[in-house]
Amino acid sequence: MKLTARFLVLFFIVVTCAVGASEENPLLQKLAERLEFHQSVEGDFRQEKYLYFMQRPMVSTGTFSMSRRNGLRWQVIEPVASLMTVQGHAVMLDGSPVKDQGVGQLMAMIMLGFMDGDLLGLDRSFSVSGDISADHWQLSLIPDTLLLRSVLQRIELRGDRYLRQIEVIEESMTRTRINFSDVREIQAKEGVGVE
Amino acid sequence: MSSDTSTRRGAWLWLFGVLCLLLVAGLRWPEDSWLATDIRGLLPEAPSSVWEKAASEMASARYEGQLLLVVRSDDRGQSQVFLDSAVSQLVAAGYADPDFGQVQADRWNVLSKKLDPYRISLLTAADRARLQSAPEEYLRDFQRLLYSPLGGSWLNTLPTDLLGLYRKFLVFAAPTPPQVIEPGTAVEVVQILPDKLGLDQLPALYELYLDLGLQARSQGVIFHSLGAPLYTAYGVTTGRQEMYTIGLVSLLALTLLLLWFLRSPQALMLSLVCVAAGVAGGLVFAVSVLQQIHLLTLVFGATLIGIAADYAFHYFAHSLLPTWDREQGLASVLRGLTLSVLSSSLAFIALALLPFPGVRQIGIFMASGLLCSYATVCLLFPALYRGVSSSRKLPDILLPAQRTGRKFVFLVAVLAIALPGILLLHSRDDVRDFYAVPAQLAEDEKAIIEALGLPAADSRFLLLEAPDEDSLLRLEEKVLVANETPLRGITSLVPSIETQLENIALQQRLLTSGVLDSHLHALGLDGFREAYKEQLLSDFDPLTIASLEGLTLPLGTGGFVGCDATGCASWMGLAGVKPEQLVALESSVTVVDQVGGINRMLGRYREGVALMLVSGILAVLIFLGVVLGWRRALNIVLVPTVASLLSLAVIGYTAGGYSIINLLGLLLVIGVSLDYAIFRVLTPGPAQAATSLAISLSAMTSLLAFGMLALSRTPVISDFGQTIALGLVFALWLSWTQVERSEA
Repeated sequence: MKLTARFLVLFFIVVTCAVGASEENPLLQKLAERLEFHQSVEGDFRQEKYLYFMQRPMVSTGTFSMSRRNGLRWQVIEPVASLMTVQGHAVMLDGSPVKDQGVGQLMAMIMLGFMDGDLLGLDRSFSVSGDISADHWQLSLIPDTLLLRSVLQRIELRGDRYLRQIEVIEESMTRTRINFSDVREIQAKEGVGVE
Repeated sequence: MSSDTSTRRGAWLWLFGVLCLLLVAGLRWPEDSWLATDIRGLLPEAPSSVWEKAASEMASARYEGQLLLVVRSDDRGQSQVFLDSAVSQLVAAGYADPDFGQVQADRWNVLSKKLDPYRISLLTAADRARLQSAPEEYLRDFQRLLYSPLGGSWLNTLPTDLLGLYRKFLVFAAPTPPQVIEPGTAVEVVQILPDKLGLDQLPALYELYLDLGLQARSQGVIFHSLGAPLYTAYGVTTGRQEMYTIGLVSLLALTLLLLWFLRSPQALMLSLVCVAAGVAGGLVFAVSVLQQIHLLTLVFGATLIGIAADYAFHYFAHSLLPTWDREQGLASVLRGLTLSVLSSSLAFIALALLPFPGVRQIGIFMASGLLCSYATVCLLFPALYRGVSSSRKLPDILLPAQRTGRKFVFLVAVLAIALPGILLLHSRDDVRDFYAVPAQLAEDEKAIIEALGLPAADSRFLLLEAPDEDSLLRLEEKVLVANETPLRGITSLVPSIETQLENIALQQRLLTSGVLDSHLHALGLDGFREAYKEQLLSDFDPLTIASLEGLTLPLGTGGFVGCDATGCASWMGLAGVKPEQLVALESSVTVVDQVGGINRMLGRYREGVALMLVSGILAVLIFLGVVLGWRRALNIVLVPTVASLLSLAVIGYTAGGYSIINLLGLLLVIGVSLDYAIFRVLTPGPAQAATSLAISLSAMTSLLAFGMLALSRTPVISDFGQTIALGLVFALWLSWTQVERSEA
């Protein structure tokens, strides 16, 4: 229940995940030069949750779409269909608003940043370190705020021209790994709106 | 005994009195703060139940030290940057508790550990209803949550919370944080440290608040803040400024007038001593007796300067007469001074009899202060004052015309004109009218309510009473079930025993029906079934309110007031719900209106003070009638009575509404105008010029002081000042034109 309390604590903080101008991080600047940016993207995902009390991960698959105008749309198809949307502060699950403890907005912030190139906002809440080579890169984000650190140990990001993997390692050693595939720009159609 | 010996003895006696007063102060001065700022400290104890009082204190204390900070702009990132800076500045200034968030987190941690052994019996009403009506749908929704990105934290607690019920119970118990409606808005709640809520600390908080507003504008964002500490800070800041201003202006006026008319620096110094003795003596006596006085008592007490100076003025004005000599100087005014201080003290002591703390403080402060000033004039002045170097004839203009029958007719005519004004008067008993809300804070409140969709502030709450704890919990649940509202009470943390048993039975049914098995299988958690079953079938150990004893609950939770031999009580804030919309409220559920209760008390005590006003005048009439004879007594009492009626008439014509504050002002008018009339009646004809000089000096200085009060930004003080200013003008006019004087 310690973890329960920690997540409840997030009610009392504002997740400072707004993308805004910040001090320039040379690593992020260098990364930004490697990435392909678009106004809106879509793709497939596979999410694996490794829980300390289970031998096999909990796996879900689905599709996502992302645009700065319409936010994040996360459609789980298997094993249980659901639709999560994040637009600004508004986080909805299957059409009903949910009290997001920062996770949804954090994900949206990261994915938005890698979509349209505004990565400097990552500096606001995390210490960023990593490695960039010719054809792939890897970043490690360690939370700056005490309360966020009580929930997350770190976030690992990997990719090439696009963000390919997010791995969230929590204090309880629970890991969530999300792999993105078939990432493409949304062409010649309206960005998918929030349902 | 030579007069020199007696005057020296008088001076020593005065000094002895000062030492005694200092000794009393040393023995009786309180260790804690002697100066209060809370308006409730001025008001009488409302005849409410013990539970109502305790619940009122809890309801007031819940958010007492908090500030809500809101920053708005087109860019939320920019808003957040400024908000972070504002919080940092509040922390750096020592006001904001940097550990507030962590403290709340720790409290939630402790609470969740405390409730954990009982988790199997803790469900929200909404979850219970869904599991009863559509369990498969509920479990399916939970699975969707677990597989979404939002499910991470729920997954971690699955082994001990297979259906997420306990987690939802805790989430529901937490108060709903401010929800941002307008995009580009950042919000934070800060807790002001308790030792920064004191009188000395708050003015700087208000300055910082204003400064943050300016900083925000320069950075292109808009900063708002809301919270009780800011209102108190504003009140303290303006109260202090006005206290210094009023006191300083009064002293300055006193100084200039004395120098001009008396042409004696010695008279000036002694007048200041007289005034200082009155204010200091009144303060020491009042604090020694009452242990604490209110800031507003001090503000009103600053007007003592004008009254205490009267005694000095009469003494010095008579010293300008050609017949004055040092040995007999006091004798010429002693009778007038004595009757004045006795009749004024009688009126102020009468205030101290009212069960109205603020009025009592003022009564004791003023009566004791006047007595100290009187003692100073009688004991010290004869020993120290040498008189002016050369006497001069006082101008004839200072000799008032003798009263004629036509003047009496004129007076009746004036009263007839005043009558409609008095009939226009209506009572205005609202404690909210006492305080001024500065425009800046009022704008911020409106903006914050709009930006966050908050309900308008409401001081009302529900008080529930029952014979015992579990009955109380069932009563609260009944109210909540009957009314689908955002009300929260102690049952958010501790359901009744009946509800806890229902919750367990419900889960047992899920287990035996096989619904739970499908859910566990879908999540791959079949291995946890037996442990869960064991929990459900174990001996029932109910969670009770006593289980939480000793815990400091997180902010916004709780509501349990207590139990005694008569029963138990709890309270619930209305959270924007109108009491009229609530149904099924039994007789044991009361809507407590704190402000309404205070206002009703104000009305009752307004009536009490009005009665005391009339009784005071009658008492003085009787006293003076016995001492001076009835004709003279009536002559004297006419001045304060007519002055009061004319003041009320003007208030009726101009404002219409009057409150207890106006009546308190009239009590002061009565005290001062009695002085005018007594001296006018007792002073022999040839010395009337001196009395006129003294009365005029007194009126001028008092009008300057009270006129300043009338300009106060605090309505309660400005009403007081306006009433007194009006009363003094009428009293001065009446004492010059309508009092039949002694020709002896």
